Amino acid sequence: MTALLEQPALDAPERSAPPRSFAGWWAVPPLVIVLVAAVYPLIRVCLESLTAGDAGSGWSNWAGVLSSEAFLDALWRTVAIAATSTAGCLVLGTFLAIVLAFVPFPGSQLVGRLIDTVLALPSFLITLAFTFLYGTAGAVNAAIAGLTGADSPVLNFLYTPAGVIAAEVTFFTPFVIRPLLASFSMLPRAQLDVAASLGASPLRVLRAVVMPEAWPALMAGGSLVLLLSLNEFGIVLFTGAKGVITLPVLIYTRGIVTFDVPGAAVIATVQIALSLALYTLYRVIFARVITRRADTDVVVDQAK
Amino acid sequence: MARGERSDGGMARFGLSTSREAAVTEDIEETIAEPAAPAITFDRVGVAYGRGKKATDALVDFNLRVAAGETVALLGPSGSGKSTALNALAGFVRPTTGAVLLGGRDVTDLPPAKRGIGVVLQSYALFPHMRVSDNVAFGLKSQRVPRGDIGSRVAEALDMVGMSAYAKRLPRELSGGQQQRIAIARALAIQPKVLLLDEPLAALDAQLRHSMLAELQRLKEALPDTAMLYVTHDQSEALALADRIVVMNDARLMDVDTAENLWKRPPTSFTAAFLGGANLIPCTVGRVIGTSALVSFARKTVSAEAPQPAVGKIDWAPESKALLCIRPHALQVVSLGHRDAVRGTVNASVWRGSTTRLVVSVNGLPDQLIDIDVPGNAQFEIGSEVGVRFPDPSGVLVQVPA
Repeated sequence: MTALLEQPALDAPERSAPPRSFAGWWAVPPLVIVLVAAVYPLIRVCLESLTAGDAGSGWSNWAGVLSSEAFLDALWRTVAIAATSTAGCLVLGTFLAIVLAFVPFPGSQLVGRLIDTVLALPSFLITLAFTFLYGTAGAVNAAIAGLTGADSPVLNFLYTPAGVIAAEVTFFTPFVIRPLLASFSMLPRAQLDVAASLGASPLRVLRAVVMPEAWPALMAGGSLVLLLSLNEFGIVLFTGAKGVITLPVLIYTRGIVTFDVPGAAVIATVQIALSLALYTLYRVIFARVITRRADTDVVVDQAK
Repeated sequence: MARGERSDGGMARFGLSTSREAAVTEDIEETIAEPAAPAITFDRVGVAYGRGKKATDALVDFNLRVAAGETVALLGPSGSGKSTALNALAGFVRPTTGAVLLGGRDVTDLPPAKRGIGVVLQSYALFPHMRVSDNVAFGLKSQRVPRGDIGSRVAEALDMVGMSAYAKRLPRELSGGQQQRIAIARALAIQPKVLLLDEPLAALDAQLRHSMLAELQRLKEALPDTAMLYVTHDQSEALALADRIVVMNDARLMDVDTAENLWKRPPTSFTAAFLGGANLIPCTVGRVIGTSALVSFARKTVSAEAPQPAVGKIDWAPESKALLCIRPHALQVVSLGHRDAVRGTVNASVWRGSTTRLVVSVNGLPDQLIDIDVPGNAQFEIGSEVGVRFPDPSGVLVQVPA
């Protein structure tokens, strides 16, 4: 053993580079599909917004659309509806997820499945169903009229932004429930037991132990709902409310109904930018959370 | 236990020396007035999981009393019901039969939050998003301890486990042993009268386990009024910490006694084998004088201890079958020509550091392999013949399981 140590240490011979692999070519077909089917049309939309329309050059077209009252109204309405729907989904979704996860009742699994199936239905169907339920001639109004004898329908919110928000909350809440349920199921039972043994009431366990650990899941669900409700078209169109014009509806009207393609392209570009910005923000926030955790882990390793 | 034995137990109780032993003795008749209610009482507790035909018994007719300040270890293989007993006491599972009492008060229907028990689990179960001090303060805040007192009590609890310097850390910034100390501090901060520890050292590496064991011993001295229930599958932890050991198997309590008694005179073959891995050699009882007996096996007669339990009586009748319990370290390997050696063949030899475990098949015991611990790294060829010498008395008699 000692004899070996006295010998001059030789570097281990370096290995030559691995033989060239052609596996990388497998990435080409999907890349081509993405470029042709997704990126190219989007770029065309952006370019279209710069072509000269009736109003003059491309830039004046941009300035005209962006300063128009219809656009600003739609932008404000879109953001307001999306934010309110998201808030509603978070509240309702958190409540339902907590009940489904922690309150044992017969059939809770079935309810969970039913909530999942909402995800499989087309969004405008919810609005259609709403018409039968809350519409002026719907079941709820009929019931109220039967009870009170009122002539005019009492509930008349379906064709207002509130109707859109109600439909979006109904349809998008499962997107909050799913990640929350997953996160609750990851929560070690032992933590809940210990928290209870330390004298914490169920409400306190929920507030101090469960929710802080479910926070990333709640954020993920919330960001997804915000993104989806920002771009939602079917629900808004199907309510048929004249006053509720969001960006997607405005794009549809401009592009398909009035054939103002450059104008529609401008709004579409704004919509794309909005979506990408929101998505980027979501990624950045998530990356921050993850790196912060990784950083502290590294510090620990050094401390050891 | 049969009626007759119960009344015997009542009689035998008067012969016991200390009042503590009297307070914790099993099977005391309800009618006998207690000077102070035991800190923990399991009264015929049964736990079953599932319903109908699928129901499995996790705990059957479990009776135990633990006095204030006493440490009792629940020792048994996995699935023996020891954790279930602890969970029933903590309120994490609901007993299907019987009752659990704390300080004489029936708490069977109380939620865990109202029981005031400190619980330490194998997985630490620290709250990952809270700093160490917040983890320790959690119980105090939950119990609405005045805000001004929380700081000092957190510091006190952290000081008790030697973790004062880590108050501002997050759990993930601590090693496993440190996390378990915090979990213990968190349980102690609420100053519980009863502390439950469920395999607290099982997730730690061997070296850390030893140092933590010493720490727990110190902690036990520092908490003279706290009753502890310590669940473990590791006999060395039970021997080191417990005033009494409950040996469990198959959802049932097998034996309960002091560590020394269980070790020296195991009442059942299961306890003999589980606690220290004794050899159990089938033998025939010969002459019995008092508590010593002559037994014979493999055409050899040796002397053995024939114990009588404190409760009840075992009839070591001549010519009856019994098991001779011999610890592996009590046997000696000698040369073949030795006077009273039995001839045997080495089947396996495993060096364990300070000892070498030999597995020997002894002539005349065809179905039985004998474990022998030889000091140091003893080199034995597999298949070689050795002499096995039985000490005098060679061991203690254990009844053949029914």
